[in-house]
Amino acid sequence: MSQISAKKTKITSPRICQGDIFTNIEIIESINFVKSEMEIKKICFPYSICLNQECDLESDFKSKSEKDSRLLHIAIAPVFLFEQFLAGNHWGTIFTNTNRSKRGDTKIDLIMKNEIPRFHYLRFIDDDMPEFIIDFKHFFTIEREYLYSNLDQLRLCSIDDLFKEKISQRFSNFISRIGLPV
Amino acid sequence: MDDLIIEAPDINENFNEDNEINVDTFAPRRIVLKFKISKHVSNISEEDENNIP
Repeated sequence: MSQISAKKTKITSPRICQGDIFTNIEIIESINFVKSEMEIKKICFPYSICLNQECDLESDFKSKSEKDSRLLHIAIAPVFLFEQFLAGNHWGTIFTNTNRSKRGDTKIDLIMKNEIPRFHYLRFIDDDMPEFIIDFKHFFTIEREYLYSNLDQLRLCSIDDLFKEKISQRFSNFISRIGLPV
Repeated sequence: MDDLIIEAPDINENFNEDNEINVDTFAPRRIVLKFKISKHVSNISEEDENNIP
């Protein structure tokens, strides 16, 4: 059995918090005009997680809209059901399927121990939460006003302090890694 | 573009390769919205309006 790597908070903050998990977030992929037609491509993510620093989110919440401490967009990373990640079809039709994996595989074992920088495995202590996995390679932004306007419907849960700080630390480590030529 | 009237979208939700809604998965899905730009309402000249494709 893998170790616990997440826990929901008991009290939900009125503001967006680092580590908040959202459902059904839509991001704009592209807007194109062809003659008299406008085509908007969106991607709907069933699950995603807030990556912004907690202090930035707090000052954003307290600040007035004309101040530059206010955030325009909130950074999010996609979150996948771990079972679907194992099946290899977690990206749906956005990317081609990856090979099916199973628990006990060396790579999966490392992922579940959070020893592969790109991924963050979440196993909640809470019975009502499935296993999730965050892919730090892909991250997006969502408009702040949209998120606040629909926060009650979009927020699935908030993650407890220690666990969300671990996510933030691992994301920053992954994104600041030194890339070597292939 | 804010002075253009946009008609109701033609929604094409590509849930999978067969363009069928797949309710068994919770994977991200691409949604394509197509809008037909049909009429200009700003104070442009009649000549310019005629040039709208």
